[in-house]
Amino acid sequence: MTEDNHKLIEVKQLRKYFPIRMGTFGTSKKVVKAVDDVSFYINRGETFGLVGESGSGKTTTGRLILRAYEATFGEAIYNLPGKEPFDVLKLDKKELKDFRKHAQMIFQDPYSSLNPRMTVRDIIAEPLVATQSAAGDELTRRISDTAKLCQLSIEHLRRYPHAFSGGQRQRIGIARALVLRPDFIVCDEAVSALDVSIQAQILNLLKDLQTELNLTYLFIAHDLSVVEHICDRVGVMYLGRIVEMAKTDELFYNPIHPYSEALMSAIPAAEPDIVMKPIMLSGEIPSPIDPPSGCTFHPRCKYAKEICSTSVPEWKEEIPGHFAACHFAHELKLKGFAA
Amino acid sequence: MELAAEELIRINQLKVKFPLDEGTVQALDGIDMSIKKGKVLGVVGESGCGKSITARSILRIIPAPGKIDEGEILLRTKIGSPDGKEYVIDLAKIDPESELLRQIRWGEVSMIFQEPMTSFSSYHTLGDQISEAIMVHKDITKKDAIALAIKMLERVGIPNAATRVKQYPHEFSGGMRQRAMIAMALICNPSLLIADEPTTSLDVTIQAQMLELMRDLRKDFGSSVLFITHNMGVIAQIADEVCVMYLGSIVEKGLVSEIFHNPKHPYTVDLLQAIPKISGSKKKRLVAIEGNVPSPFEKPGGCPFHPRCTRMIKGVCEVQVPMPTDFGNGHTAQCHLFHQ
Repeated sequence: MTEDNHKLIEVKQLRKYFPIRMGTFGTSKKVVKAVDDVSFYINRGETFGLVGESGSGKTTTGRLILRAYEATFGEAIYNLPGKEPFDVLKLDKKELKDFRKHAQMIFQDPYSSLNPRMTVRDIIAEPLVATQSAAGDELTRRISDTAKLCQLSIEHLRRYPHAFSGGQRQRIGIARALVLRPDFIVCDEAVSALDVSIQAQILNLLKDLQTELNLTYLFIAHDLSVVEHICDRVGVMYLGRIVEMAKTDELFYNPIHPYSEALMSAIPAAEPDIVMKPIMLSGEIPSPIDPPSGCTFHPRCKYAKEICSTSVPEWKEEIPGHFAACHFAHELKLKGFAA
Repeated sequence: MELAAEELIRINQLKVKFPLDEGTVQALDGIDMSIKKGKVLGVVGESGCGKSITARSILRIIPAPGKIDEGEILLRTKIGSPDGKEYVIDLAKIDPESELLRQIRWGEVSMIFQEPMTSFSSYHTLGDQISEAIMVHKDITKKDAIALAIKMLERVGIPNAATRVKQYPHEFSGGMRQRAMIAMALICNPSLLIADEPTTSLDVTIQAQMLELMRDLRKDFGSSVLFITHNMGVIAQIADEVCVMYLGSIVEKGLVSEIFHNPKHPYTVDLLQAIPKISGSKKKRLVAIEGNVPSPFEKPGGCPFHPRCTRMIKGVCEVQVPMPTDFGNGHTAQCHLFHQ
């Protein structure tokens, strides 16, 4: 069994550039490099975390690999069980329709991601109806099975989204994503808008569903504690580029990219006795319209040398399974999360 | 009206209600809170717990139709003092439209919000807004006020302050606006700064900068802080004392180390176990609190937490509101388990 059989998705050199018009009368044409040469892979059955701050490109990446946006360049190869590998970015309309049965998304905002004029039953039914996967009794059965998996009762099916709390609405969104029994789900900030106690319920639910239904997750989030809890492997993004990727423990305790080091040092430990010593990054996250030259992180990096401003660092596997894009990844001694 | 020597503000049995068409919501149900001079009091709780309403009650900016129906908010101040000496006033009894309260707002008690744009007018430059805040409280010229504003912007880490003071809020990034908001809040040297979820919408590295800035400024300005958040990690880092709120009541309060290491109330215990903590290989399943926070229109009788409490005592918790138990050192919890 080769290494590749373990990979459900392999993303190569993914780019998404948004053209924008600026200046008087929209005369100046510029480009926002929202995702700029991103490569990573997700193994079957795992939860892969994608973290980063504002403008990192993590949400756009999630949408690109589901073909919710059209990529500017690159590949996203899927190895679905029982199918030949295919590049989702090259599928035609008909093939895409079938693809949707295998890959779905859960959104951040439980209030705007559900149609307020549809009953819960109709919301969960929609993917089945749209793909003509079931009808009549079969449809009803599949809806109620899925609702039960998400701890929604039969009574809930008759009601409208506004009758439910944030956590319950998120369960409805999860049920809708699950009803086609996909192999892969993108969770885009799926718990960020929830209260802590509800967040715990939903995280536990997602974990249980993964085991029960053999799911693979791409978990996009900005809360590093949540990511550390639920993810097996994590990728860190900064200004449209992926800067580090490793197993969760490796990343948190042994980061090899200076930006990851800064992130780990900024996580507020829920422990009053620990005095945080966050690495203060100077300045702010630059605009993606005019990113810095060379390594986009160099203006804020305390380890930066001249080469960092002139040459884009290569995305390399520095240690087996541990990737980074930094000219000095192999020699810097960085600190991980300390607690 | 008495305040202990080390107290700046004391809230006694404050009740706030919202008479709405669908029914009355008791947003605050008799809370007692004490903010000490120079200290940070963290208020933590989930949606609907009343933490924001508490903050707004102090400044008397509760959104209509909410109103204070009972209780006291005692503040130590010199503003409006008949003889220029410090005295104690009850903010709950003062007319919210009065000149006295206008002087207190930003003069003695100021506030920063989650969304920096809430504090600023998009139509006025930063310089105009901050200098206006100063001129309401101090008898100085606009020129001098702008000079003070520039100094303050520099102090909060905004580079090129002399140029930026002529810019509009939309020309600043989120982190910069947050700093500008802190500048405006501290410019008149208030004795209390209320921070309502100030770092919630910030990136984690910007949040770290903000917390560092606030710690730094406290050393210079000596103000007390009422820090409201749902993030226990931030509370652990910034608070001296903590109040845990649930559905309009304070269920537990005490020193930050007591709350984290020796929580008493089942809600506090459960909340601490529901937060994902970075733990490497020692990972445990999160302990989720079952059920949902009840609708404020359907507040449970007795202890508000009882429907979700794993240690509920049948026949007691559903009917009786628990009295606080004192564990010493300012640590109290309202729970029947300790009041047998």
